[in-house]
Amino acid sequence: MKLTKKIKKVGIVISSILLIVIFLGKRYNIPVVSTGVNSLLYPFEKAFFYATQKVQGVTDYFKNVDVLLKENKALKEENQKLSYENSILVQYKSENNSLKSLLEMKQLYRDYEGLGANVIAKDNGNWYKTFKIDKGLNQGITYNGVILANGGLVGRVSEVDLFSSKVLTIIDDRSSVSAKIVRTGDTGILRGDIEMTAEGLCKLEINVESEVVKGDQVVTSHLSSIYYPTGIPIGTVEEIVPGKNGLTQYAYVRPIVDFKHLEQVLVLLNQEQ
Amino acid sequence: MGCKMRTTVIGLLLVVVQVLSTTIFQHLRIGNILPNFMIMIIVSFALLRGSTEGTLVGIAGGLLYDLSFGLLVGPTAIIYGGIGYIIGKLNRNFYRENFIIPFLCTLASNLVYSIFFTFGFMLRGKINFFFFFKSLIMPELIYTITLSLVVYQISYLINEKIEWHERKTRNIF
Repeated sequence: MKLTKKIKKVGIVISSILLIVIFLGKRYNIPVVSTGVNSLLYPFEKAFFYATQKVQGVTDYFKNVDVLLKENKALKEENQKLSYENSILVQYKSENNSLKSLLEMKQLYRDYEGLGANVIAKDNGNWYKTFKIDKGLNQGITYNGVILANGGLVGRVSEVDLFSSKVLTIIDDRSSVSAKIVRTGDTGILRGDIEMTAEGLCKLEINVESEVVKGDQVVTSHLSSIYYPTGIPIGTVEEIVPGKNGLTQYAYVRPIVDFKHLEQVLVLLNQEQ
Repeated sequence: MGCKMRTTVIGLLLVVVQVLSTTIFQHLRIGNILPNFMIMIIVSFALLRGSTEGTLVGIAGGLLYDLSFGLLVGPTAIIYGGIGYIIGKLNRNFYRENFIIPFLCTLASNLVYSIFFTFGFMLRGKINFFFFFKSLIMPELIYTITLSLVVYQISYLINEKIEWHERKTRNIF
């Protein structure tokens, strides 16, 4: 194909308009190019998601009646137990609040408003673990918003488009979180590790003097407050391995969240902005 | 212009491949490994049409991945574009009906792609090459080259259809 004068002219005009739009987007914090591409992909992804959900729903309906009846019975029993425990906890809460007000301590665990979202697409490479959710700038999601599921930490929003956003999970090799072991109070850095991503584990690097044992609970620490609010549960320690340099040890943490079968997540909305 | 038709069809094909592999094909994971469908498409079109189209398809496919899942825009686009360019150079030397060449080319390109990713991990201090090779590169390679035999046939048919259409339009004008 020869480049005639007309084509050149049209090309120059189109590229200059594109550049202006991109710079305007930069100014107002909207990623124009990726919004364009993702808006193109979004309807397809949403349609496929909807179709699979529907098909799954129909087959599950016939498959699961027996299981559901049993589960219902078990859950009812558990519910009674939990409501009893809950009433005790409410008493503890009021007691805790009154004691705190006596000590004039600052409220550490704030209440955040959450927004439910569906996972519509997962990374098709084998090296990284990211996924896309179907809520974006339109629904008020911000950069670095915190993602939870089943009450455990999933990750944070790494990019927001108009209709969808990208999530970087904590088992991804590129992510790191400052975490704390509840029992001992030691803080460390929780990183995703490529060698354990397949099993859904991540690695907590912690001081060698820390007396961490198997089964300890891990939460986000007070140092992680730039990205993550303090005290979000992450998971439990599965195994402890001494580090090579003699100064650190590694605890393999199994997250509460099952990353393989993740479908619904909760996004915490940042109320400060 | 037949060029318009070709762009539309291949663009749509890339979008469909990307979307399918992120949604429904996730159930195809064997041992947590998904084959690389984008490389199969790029290699087929580069072999069928030459390095210009190979590069363009590669860059488009890479950008689709980068913009929907990567943290940076560009790395995958550059790798895919390079693969498209180099494989496209072989276009003149082979018959299209030869089905062994795409198989070998997919093998080589997937290996190169994996080596680039390994390099990215190496820069972050993850140097357990044996692990990478055993549980990521090798399974992906085997899965991809097996499926490439089928995917090349499909791309071949699609290309035949487009070329037939282009020939028809050219005769009218």
